[in-house]
Amino acid sequence: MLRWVLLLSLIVAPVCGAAEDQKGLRVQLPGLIEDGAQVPLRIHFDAPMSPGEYLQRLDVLAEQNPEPAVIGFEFMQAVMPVRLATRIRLRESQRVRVIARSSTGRIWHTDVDVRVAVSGCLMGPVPQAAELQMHSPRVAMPEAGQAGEVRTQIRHPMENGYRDGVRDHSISPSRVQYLHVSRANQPLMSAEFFAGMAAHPYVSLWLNDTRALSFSWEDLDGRLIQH
Amino acid sequence: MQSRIRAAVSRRKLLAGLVLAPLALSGCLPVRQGGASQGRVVIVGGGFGGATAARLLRQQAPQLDVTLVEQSSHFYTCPFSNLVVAGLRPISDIRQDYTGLMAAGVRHVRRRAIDIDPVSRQLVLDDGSRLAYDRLILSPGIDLRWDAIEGYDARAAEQVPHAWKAGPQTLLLRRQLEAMPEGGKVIISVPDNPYRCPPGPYERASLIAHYLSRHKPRAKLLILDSKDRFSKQSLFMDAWQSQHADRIEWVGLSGDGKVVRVDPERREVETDFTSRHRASVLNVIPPQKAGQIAARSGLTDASGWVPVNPQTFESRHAAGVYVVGDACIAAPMPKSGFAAGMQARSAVAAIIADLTGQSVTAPVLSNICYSLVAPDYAISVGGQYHVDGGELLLTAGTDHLSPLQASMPLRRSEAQAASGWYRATTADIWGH
Repeated sequence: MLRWVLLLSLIVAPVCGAAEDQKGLRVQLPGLIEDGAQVPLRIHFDAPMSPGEYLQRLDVLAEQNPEPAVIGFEFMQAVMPVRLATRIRLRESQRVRVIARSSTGRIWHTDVDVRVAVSGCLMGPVPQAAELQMHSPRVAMPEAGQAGEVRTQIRHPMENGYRDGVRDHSISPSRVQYLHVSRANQPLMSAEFFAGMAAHPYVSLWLNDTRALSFSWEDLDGRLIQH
Repeated sequence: MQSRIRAAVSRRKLLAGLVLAPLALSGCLPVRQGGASQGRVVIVGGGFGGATAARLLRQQAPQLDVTLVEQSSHFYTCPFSNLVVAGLRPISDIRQDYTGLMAAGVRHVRRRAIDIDPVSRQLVLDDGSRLAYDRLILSPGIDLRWDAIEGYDARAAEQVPHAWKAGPQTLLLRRQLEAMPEGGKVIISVPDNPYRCPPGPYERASLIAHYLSRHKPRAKLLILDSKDRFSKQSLFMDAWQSQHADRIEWVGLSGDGKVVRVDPERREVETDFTSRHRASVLNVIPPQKAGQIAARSGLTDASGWVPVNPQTFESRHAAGVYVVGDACIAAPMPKSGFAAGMQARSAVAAIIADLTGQSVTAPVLSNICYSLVAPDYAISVGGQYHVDGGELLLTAGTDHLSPLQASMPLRRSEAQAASGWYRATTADIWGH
């Protein structure tokens, strides 16, 4: 049956994350997003590297957001393969672009078309952003330093100063700006959060070795919280 | 807004809206003499979508053969099943059967459909037999994703009910609530979107809290949610605050509410950031996907749901196959019984036009979701939808939500409207 469906496909609709993959960089987003405020994004990078080359930077851009920058990851050490997950904000249906750059300057990019719907049963008012201080950092790690997924989150509403896509100058942006991850006191990765980052920034990263990791979050005013 | 609510729930209007109005036929109808069939329509699934389609086809196009493929002799509706969970209604109140549809001339085949052969236009049944169709309507509802939460599979559900398909699971959850100790704790785990009945988990929490307040006054209820926002959130929260302030606690995604592991023996859950919670009664509503036949026959996309043409609900992947209800991708329409019935009307209108040459006006798609917060306290959300540029959109100015500040008489009248809606709709679809 599956074969027939392929043969008979009438319309090829890019309904679910029609990713224009470039070999080695895969991006997963739901094709149809019911709530643009918390959109799960996964990135997987495993392109072959030359000796000494490693993935240095990953940027996520949402061109139809009022500010296209969403999140940027900077790697200070080789982490291969790179498997990341986070949650972003998407204002409307659009193309999300992920760009990867290696330490030797090679570039990869992948685009994903997504549709953002706000479900009719999800019309509640936006909760108030009362709390503008970072708090409650959380980290979940595999047991005993084993390989696996490291999940991090800190509470913060990530106020970007926009209302209905328009900059409201009576509201000052306030957000967590960085997550720094170190291993044995050596910087491993930093994530920089922009206006398109979802509230309560969540980042998960797959690591071969999860021993001696430390985490710190830094907000726009330079305050730090360590974990 | 209130007048819109009232208009929508007046029983007379509802009946008209449900059965007759959407299929305004016009032009010359090529009526065949001698009762020869102009086509065979096969429908899979006897829930809100499938049964509505069967009923409408018999009413509007008696010259078509209509076969309903549904293994069961009866159907327990998810709408109002939370009342059964809370002991406010017997399960017989939400039981519907197919005798009314059969009396109306629908052929009921008591089999499970397992696959589609779209080339020869045949439906494959579980005994290997095949049913030929000219048009096929699938309304298979949901399947639970048993691989989504570690430790939660079909076997675990015998101890830890989901109760997200009404019937034995509803009663299991009911019995567990009755048997739970005085000062026990109920935990409800809620999935991320999309899932069947967006406000359903919160209605369930409200009605269970109502039961607890009467029968287990020291018991608590914790909602662990994989989302930070939910349907009618401020209305629910306001009602909980005023009625169950010390009883209900809601923990959203950013508060570490996402359940990733279940231990059914211990009735314990673990969240994304490894908090553990132990319950006396644990209700896990897992993530979902389109009913099995949709995936089996290759109609689903990577999301697990079925992409359709929103004008007709015809599958984007197989001509002549229409998919309605929870299984299809129709956001911003929610996955509700009401929406399934509306979508069935769109599909039926397209099928009648196709097979008989009648000109059929497509219905206006709409939805209303009522939620009971207590037996005499209901809130609602609703709206109309239209298609623009191939996409389904909420029509500006048609959306309504119960007001946050409202008198008890309004809440009570919405509860009456909810019962009226249930009675009228189920009578229209499954009645005699």
